[in-house]
Formats: sequence, structure tokens, C-alpha cells
Amino acid sequence: MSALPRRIIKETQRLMAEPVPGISAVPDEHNARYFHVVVAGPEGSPFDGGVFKLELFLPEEYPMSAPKVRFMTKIYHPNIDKLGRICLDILKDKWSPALQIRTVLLSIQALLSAPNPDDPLANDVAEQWKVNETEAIKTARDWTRLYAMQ
Amino acid sequence: MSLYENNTTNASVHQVHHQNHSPLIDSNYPIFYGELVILGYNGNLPHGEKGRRRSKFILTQRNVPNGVKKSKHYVVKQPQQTKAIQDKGKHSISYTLSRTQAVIVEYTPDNETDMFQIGRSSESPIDFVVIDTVSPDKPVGDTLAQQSTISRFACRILVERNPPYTARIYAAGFDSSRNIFLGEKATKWQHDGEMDGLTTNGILIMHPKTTFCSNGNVIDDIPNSGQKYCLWREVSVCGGIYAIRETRSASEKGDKIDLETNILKDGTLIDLCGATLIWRSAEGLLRSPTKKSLEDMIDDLNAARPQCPVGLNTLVISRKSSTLCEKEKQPYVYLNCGHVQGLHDWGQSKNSNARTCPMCLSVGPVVRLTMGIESSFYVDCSSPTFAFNPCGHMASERTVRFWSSIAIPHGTNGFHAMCPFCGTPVSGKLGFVRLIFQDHVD
Repeated sequence: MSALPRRIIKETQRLMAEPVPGISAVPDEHNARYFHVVVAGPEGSPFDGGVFKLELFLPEEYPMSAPKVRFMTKIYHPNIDKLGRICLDILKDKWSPALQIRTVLLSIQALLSAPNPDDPLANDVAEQWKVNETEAIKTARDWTRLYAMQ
Repeated sequence: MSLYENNTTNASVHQVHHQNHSPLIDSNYPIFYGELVILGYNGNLPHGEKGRRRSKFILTQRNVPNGVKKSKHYVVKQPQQTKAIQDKGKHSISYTLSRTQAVIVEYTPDNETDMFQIGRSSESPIDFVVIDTVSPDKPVGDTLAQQSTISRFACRILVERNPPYTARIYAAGFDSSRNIFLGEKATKWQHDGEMDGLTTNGILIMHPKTTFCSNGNVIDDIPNSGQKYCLWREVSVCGGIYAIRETRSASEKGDKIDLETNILKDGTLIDLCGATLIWRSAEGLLRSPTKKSLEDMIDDLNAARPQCPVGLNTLVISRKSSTLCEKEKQPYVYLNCGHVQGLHDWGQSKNSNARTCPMCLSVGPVVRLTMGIESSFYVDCSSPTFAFNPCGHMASERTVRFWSSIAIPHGTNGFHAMCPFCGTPVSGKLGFVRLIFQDHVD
């Protein structure tokens, strides 16, 4: 494996020194490109009180291509599917190398506060969110309690 | 002390007098009149400053006055046979009216003025040798084929040796035989018994509308329409001011402009047809930034530690125009949006030079930032936080706005605004871009 680019070292250092409130991201001790991420469910959202584990991987081309991020913890969210894949434009066609691990994680945190059923990844969840939002939010709370609270 | 005695010590009196209000003057050095700077060079010629061929010519008082003034004139049949023409010590201008008739105007030494001559010739009467400025946007083959349009003896400037050292410009310069010949085909005329004429491609001048470099004082009335500002005039062999001709070398002269003069003001542009010069007076330069102050401003910009938002590395603006800084530290600007970054190839489109800016996703060309270090082109002393589009020369906001609004003669036909540091015609809606530096992105 090639040496770790300076940019990744700098990002990691800053993530450690000045963590984003509600988010922790720690590089794996064996692979500096693999981060163990924990995001706290935002206050006021159906995910409040939950602790969500994610994995974040910086591909070889990073930052010229986006990090790969996936929810490890099961979550009931219209933009996150059963496998934990996330529908977020900046992780796909709207990626820019001016974005960083920090900005990606902040965007994911924001996505938890504002689900977007009009651009779904989990179709069944999105459908429920549109047809019966109250019921959908209740399910999301239940899942949070079930899977995201130890 | 009698009045007469006082007059004999005139020169030294003035030197002392000037010393009192000008820090540029030291009694050990000659009096500094001003300087002529060729547009399109950033402090030096590409192959270095050599002898009379340089990017800038400093005019200082001559040890011995060498100015000339008009004296008698007369009609001759054969100018070549005339004593004044044959006498290599005598300045004269010959106006050929027909094959058998010419008017000779003799010039005699003038102890009150110093003369400086500008032209393409490297012969000794030319003080400042100026070769056509090659626009860097042209392909090399194109320029090689191009013939020079600058006259060998293009123009002369006479400066009064006494304060306020008034400088006047005249078309045509005296050759090695101290003659100026206006041939049969040249545009010439007689007015009130005095002969005058124009040279082939002519000498155009444009005076600044307001103070060129006011150093912070109000100069914000630059009109949006470049047309209004661009009042190029033509100066005749005797220093008269005329509207420009229909085409550069048309035989019909323009209308006489009585209210304007050939007295150079700080910031007057002089177009030789192939190269354009700016006159900076000694007084005007006192208000201008110096090379040192520009370097200090670069140091200030670098002290803020601008970063590349992609590499997260610190960028360094080079103080020198020519030396490349370390590749990784070299800043580049996205010309559509002004975001400054290091060099990387993200967002490069396959078919053009355009790139997507990682900061704002706008698409446009990218260019290396280069400091505009020729301080004489600055119209104020503000920080160089703008850059010309498309060449990437950095300068202050007023400086880029000023030059982007000035149409400069281009070849023998047409005008265009250009970067004064390299001569590249400006492009884009404004011709320049505001630089956006990022710091503390990591």
C-alpha cells in the first residue's frame, strides 16, 4: 500500500483534535483509510437518543473521488437502505475534493434531521413516509430504540 | 547679491529647491524627470535589460542640455543639397512638398530643454530602443512573420530643465544626421506659415482623465463605457494634437484639438504602433507603490497562509515574476469564480481547458497566479487581491479595473484592453477576477 497522502493525515489529525459535536470518527489501527464512525441521532429527530455506527472508507483516489460511507446500525430512513447504503448527492455526482470527511459526516447528520422521501433509496420506507408520516416516524423511533440504543 | 548673479547660479538653486520636496532627489544624482515603461513587461524584458533596450527608461537631467528649438525656415529645390541637411551638427526637418520643392526648418540648440528620443533604431540618437511588443496569446510562427510597425525614429520628448520639468512629446525623431525627413507621401500641411506633419503610422497619446495614481483619493468616476475614456489623440511632428485618423496610416489628418496639449501628464499613454508606453512623472511616482511595498503586500497575503482546499497544503505567492515557486505551493486561480487553489486535475473536462471548481462547481479555465510586480502600472497602493483574466497577473482592484477599461491600439487596426504586465488581451465579462483565498480549511 502506498504512503498515506498528507491530506488524509491532516484531516485525521484535525478530526481527532477538534471533533464535530455528536460525531466521532476514529481511524482503524490497521488501516488508516478506514474509519469507525459513530453519529448521535440529532435532537428533535426520530433518531434522537440513538447511537449509529457507520463505516467510512477513503478509496485510493480520495480526495479526487468520494469516501465510501455505510450505516452499520440498522436505521428506518427513506434515504438509507437495508444494507446501510446512503443516498446523498455529495457522495455521488456532487462530490468535490473541496469536501472533507468532516463535511460528509455533517451532511449525514443533517440527513437524519431532514429525511427526503422524494429522493428515496429505500422505496418502502419512502412510501410509508409519504403516505403516513406519523406512522413512519413512530417506526423510525422504534427502530432507533431497538437497534441504536445499547 | 544682484539679480544677475542670482541667475547665474540658477541650476544649483533649483536642485536644492527640488531636494526639499522630493525624497527621490539626491544632490549626488541628476534630477529625475520621470520614466517611460513599455506595456506588456513585468519589470524586465524576457532576455534581460541591456543598454538602451529595456522595459523601462528613466529620464534624468542631462549633464549638458541637448534640447533643440525651431529657428528659421525656407524653401529649397533639392533638400539633399541643402547646407542644413548636409551639416551633421545641425538639427533640421525637411518637408518635401514635391520633387522640386521642400521646406527646411532649422532647429537650434535650446539650453532650457533636454531631448530624449525613442524608436526602433539602435543608432546612437535613440535613447530608448523599443521593439514591437509581442502579445503572448499569439502563436510563435505568427509573430515571426510580422513586420515591425514601429518607426526607427518614432518620437522625441523634450523636458524643460527647470521645475516643474514640463515634458512635451513630438512625433518623429532626428536621425544620425540630425535630420527628420517627411517625404512626398507623408501627411503635411502649412498653418500660419509654419510647416507641420504626421509620420506614417503616427504617434498616439492618451492623457489620463483624472490623476493616474491618486493613492487612495477618489478616482472612482471611471465610466463603464470604455469608449468615453478612450480618447486617443495623434501628436504631430511639431507637437500639435489631432483627432486620430480614420485608419492608422490614412493620408488625411484628423481634426485639430485646440484644448489639448502635447504636455505629458503622469499616466499619459504613448502608442508607437507596435508598442505602447506609459509616462510616469517623478511626482506621480511618489504616490505609487514601490517594488518593495508590493513585496511587503505579497508577504502579508502569504502570512495569512492561504491553503489549497484540495491538497490542504499552504500556498505561497512568489515575489518574483519569473521564478517558479515550488510546484506544490504554486497558487492557481479558477477564472470564472476566483477561487485560489493548488494545481490538481480534478474536474478537468475532456474536450477543453475548462475545469470544474471544487469550491463552487462552476466551470472555467484555470491559470497560474503571477504577481504583477511592475509597480509603475499600479493606480493605487492597495493589496493585489485581483487578477487579470486570462493571464493571471495579480494587481489591486483599481489597477485591474483601470486597465480592463482602457482600449489600447492593437497593431495597425483596432483597440483592445490588455494586461499591462504581459500584453495579453483581457477576456471574460469584466476582464479580471476577485481572488478568493481559503485559509484554515484543515
